[in-house]
Amino acid sequence: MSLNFEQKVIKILGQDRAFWDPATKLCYSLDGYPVQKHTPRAVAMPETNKEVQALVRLCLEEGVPILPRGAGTCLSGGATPPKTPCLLIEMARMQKILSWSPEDRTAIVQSGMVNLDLSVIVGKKGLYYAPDPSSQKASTIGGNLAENAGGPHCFKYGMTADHILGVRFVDGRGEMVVADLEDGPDLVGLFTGSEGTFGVATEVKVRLSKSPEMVRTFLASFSSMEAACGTVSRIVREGIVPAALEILDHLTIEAVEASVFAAGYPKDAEAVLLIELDGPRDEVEADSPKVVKILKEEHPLAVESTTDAEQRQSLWKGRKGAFGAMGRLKPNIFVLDGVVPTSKLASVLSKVAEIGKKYNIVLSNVFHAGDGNLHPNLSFDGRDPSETRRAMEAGLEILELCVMSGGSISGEHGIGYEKREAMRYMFDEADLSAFRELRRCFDPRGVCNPGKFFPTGGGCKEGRSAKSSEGLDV
Amino acid sequence: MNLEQSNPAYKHSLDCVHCGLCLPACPTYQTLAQEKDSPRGRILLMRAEAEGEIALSEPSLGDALDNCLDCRACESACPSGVQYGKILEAYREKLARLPSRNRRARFLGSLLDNLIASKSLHRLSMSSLRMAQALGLQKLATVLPFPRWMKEGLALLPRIPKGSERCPIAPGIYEPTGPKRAEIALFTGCMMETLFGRVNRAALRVLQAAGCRVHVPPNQGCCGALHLHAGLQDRARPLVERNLRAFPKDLDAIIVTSAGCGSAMKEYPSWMGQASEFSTKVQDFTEFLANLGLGFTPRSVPMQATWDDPCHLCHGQGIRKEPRRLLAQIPQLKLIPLEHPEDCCGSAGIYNLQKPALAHSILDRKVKDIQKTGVRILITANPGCHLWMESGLAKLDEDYQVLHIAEVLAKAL
Amino acid sequence: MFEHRPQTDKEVVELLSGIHEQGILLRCGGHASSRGVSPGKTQAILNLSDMNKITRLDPNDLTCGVQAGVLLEDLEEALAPHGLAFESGPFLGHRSIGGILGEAPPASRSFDRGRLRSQLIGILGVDGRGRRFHAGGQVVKNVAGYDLCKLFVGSGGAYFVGLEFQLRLVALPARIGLLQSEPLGLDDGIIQWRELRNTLPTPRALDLVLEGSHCHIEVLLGGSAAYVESQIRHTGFKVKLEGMDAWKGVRGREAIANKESSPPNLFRGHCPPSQLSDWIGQTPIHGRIHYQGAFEWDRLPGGERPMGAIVHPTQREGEQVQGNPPSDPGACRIAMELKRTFAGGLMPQRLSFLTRISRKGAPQEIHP
Repeated sequence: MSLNFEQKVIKILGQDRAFWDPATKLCYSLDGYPVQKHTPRAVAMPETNKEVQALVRLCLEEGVPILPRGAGTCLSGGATPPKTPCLLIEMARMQKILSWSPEDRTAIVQSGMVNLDLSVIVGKKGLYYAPDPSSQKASTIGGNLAENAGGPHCFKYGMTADHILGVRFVDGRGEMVVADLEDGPDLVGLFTGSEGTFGVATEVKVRLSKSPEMVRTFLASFSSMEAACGTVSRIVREGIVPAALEILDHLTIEAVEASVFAAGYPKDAEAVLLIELDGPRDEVEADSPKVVKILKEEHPLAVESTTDAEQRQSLWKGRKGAFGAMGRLKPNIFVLDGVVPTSKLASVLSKVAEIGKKYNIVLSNVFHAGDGNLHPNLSFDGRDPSETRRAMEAGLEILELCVMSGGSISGEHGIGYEKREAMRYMFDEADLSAFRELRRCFDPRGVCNPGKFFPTGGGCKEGRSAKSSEGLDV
Repeated sequence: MNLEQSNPAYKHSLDCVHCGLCLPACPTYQTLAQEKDSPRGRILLMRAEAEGEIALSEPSLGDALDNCLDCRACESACPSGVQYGKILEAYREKLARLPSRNRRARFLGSLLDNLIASKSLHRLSMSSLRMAQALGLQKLATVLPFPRWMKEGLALLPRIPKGSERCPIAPGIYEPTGPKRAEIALFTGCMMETLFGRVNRAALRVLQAAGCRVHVPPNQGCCGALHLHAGLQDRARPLVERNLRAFPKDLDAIIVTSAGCGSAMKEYPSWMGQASEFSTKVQDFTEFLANLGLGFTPRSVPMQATWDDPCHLCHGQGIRKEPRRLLAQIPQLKLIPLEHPEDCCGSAGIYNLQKPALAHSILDRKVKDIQKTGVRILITANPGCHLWMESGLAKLDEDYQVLHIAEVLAKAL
Repeated sequence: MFEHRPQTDKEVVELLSGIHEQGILLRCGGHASSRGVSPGKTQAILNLSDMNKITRLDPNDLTCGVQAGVLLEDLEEALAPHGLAFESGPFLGHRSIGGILGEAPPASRSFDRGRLRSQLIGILGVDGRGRRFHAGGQVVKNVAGYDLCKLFVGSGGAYFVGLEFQLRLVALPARIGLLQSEPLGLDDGIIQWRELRNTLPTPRALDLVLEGSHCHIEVLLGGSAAYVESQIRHTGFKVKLEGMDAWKGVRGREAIANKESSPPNLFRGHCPPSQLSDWIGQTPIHGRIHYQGAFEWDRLPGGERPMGAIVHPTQREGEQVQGNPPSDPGACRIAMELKRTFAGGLMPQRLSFLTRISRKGAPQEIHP
């Protein structure tokens, strides 16, 4: 008797770690990107590298696409199942720290480990894992790796890519690969940010950082966005490297203050700027007066600053919860992450506001100003097709604007489903074709997370069938 | 858009933006690591049901919702302020009305009515259970013709305290020991009264010492919280009404020593559409006392202990600092912080009886955290958690003691 | 042998597509420290020294764009008035940016974001089949598209030729100081170095310099005057250099020695700091160990592989390897796949970028 696909999954994992009941399938039909939903064929929860490899090999035999998933907090649809029903490999059960060395400041973790959990464990030795996407309480190291996640502190400490030293993954041929930054070509760098299209990461070697001796957070409110952006430019040019430079606009401030993460931000301000200095005590204390001086010269409505851990947390709490808090405005929200050169922030922002008006979409902004990473939040009602379409179109226009200003369509959320069409703003057919070639080196049959990343239609000039942009080359 | 008007739970579910920040706060997600056992997943399912994507009778939907502890830790974590409890409880009611679940709901309802809400039966059952436990007859239950889940439940029942500890307070009015500072009533509850008479008596003594004139109304009873959490609104209504009648009107506060009851009683208006005046007076014992001030100089109580936040105190009522502030005032009492103090212990009303396996794995995590503190005394403020954690700690080699915060304060008198 | 000196990317495209079709092997020629070029099979040389324009400089955004042949010294000259610098690894001014990025060995400041792989934010490349493409962009934060920049850095150009690079720049700190300890015994030195790794909050570099039977420690500090002062007090070391001299001072063996050619037996690799003391002291070594455990030193007698260390495979003598193959078989297979896909006519044996163009003269002799 031949087993069907689901039975074969059970053969690998056992009854209690494979699911395809309607509730499970529905729950895994999307990530943090609300616009596109597809149910997976089945959900598998492996616990070992071998099981992951066996699952990938099974999918290759059966021609079933694979989607690795961590916590499903991705904002671009990277963890949303592809249209062709896939096997969703839920990595949440692989969340152990395998080894770590306080002296070498490295750790090897399973890819399902939650970002913040790692920092808590290594915190005992005064270390932490630096990349801190706003989802860090929930999102996994594997998911962060797949999307090359950023966060408020990237400005000083870099992206996820700057903190990954090695990856063990099962590639699209079903082979186990160990990539190490110190050994051979930078496959680690290639894999980071590949959005699950190269294979399934099972273990990640990360760099740990020393916790800063002192942290001082400033909060300044301004009556204009230009003043807030101008302050950022001046601080950066001064050679001060704050750990974070974050701006919240008026609408965001209101939403945050109405939520459980209310942080006491002044409600009448047009922009709130959060600045965080961290590092050695002497360094922070020397830089603080310089920051205050620049702030004062830009005529803020109010400035406060604190080194108290609890108060800092509450200032940050509002920023970290801003995305969720925006959910109060409309039933759905999607958040862009286009990047512009910091010197063009203010002018781009006013154009972004015009786009919001043009499409009649509620549009708020909270962003990593230090590296020019915008976060326009578009609030809409997903049940209203016309409003949804307007939100999507406004989003694309904002991304085009970012590229025209010398920036990028994505600073940290990845392409996924959300921005695949916008890839054409940045990359021409030759670039995309190089990307396709690169992908084939890892996943020749396009079995890993298909249908994302590359724009649909028009492309496919190398004789690939039309369905290959979504389905499998089998 | 009629759906939003006809289905208030659906309207609340629209607040969720599917960001996933609730995942780490959810005990079932932490244990099972499955999306459908997370608040985000359950909200998605309930929203999908309202939008017609999945049928209410779909067993996997019911299972997913049954798995929820209703601890509401997700509400504390949610940046959008989603009122998860309201959505869930509305759906539990819907589920309870399903023909396929009707029998089970009726059975659960009568069990709650008879064993919990009815004082005399409750007392009787507790005494007999205590006797059965003392005589080792609990095993007998396993051969009696009870439903399987109930048999398992009986086998898992926590240790029932001995008679002298259970003895309830006599109804009446108790005068303050010093000058009067407040006129209040003490809600004695059902479980608290029959199992934890000692706690209520301790609370009474502390409140008297703090300058309170304390009413203990005779006709009060179960608050109905467990019925409400199980989706049995209809059965809860008479209980609520009984309490509304039982308490005098001109009080400064109604003091509750059980976090679960207090949380439910504060929410009567949103559930029952009534009792708002009553509800505004409801205060947790710690909340009231911390704000009023002790009014007496506490004696030193040399002990090392740790504090566990009951879910319905921290998540349900937002009370976190008050108990810590009270304990900090007692000389020589050293409070060692617990890791994950706001995580559910798995007790969750009668959840530990309904889903014993899951409840036990959640309890194991809590017990490990308690062990890590190195102290042997655990302080909490909810009877369900109290018994459940006590049963988990009893399995360890070392002797642990679980105390209600009122008992600790009474030691400082 | 014919040397091509293209002026535009179009010429490079034509050249490489032609070579691919004719099956002619090509070497992008030049010098690299010990890459074991096997000149016999090289049939043409691609010399990018005429593509030497700084295409863009946005001091306010801390980014710039340069062509491959731009010399570091020219870039530094352009950046200096703005108080900016490029983290150039161990290299000094006479190297081309293309060569620096192509070789990208670890160096003193190569930890955290100091690595060369973190400095390249965008690239214009032409692969061995003459296909021209972009990856990355002009902003410091960008995750759009696959990061082909990473495939270029340190590859020696094995997969494709980088013609134009978008670079991340750093603002120079207010005060820079290079400190040096007294000469120390080996055991003492290792203990002190490990201690300083834990106690110095954020050194820009912290090297253990091995000189046979003894050693010393070098620390590069950058930041506000007050901070640098306090760190000088903390270490108790003497200030050896200050300002830009200090900034350029600790880079690696090559920079310090400032030799016209790198020592042929230079040996580079990486070893976890916690395992260092297990084998230092066995044999007299001349070299240095950087903050995160990257090292460079004279080859050990007998070519022994240090315990626990990953030795950069390109440094293995005598092996006929293509590019920079990793030791893991899975990773090796992907590396070969990448070569098959992109390299085309590039690199007969190993490919080295033309890294050693000096302003003072024409490209130097390429064959050893």
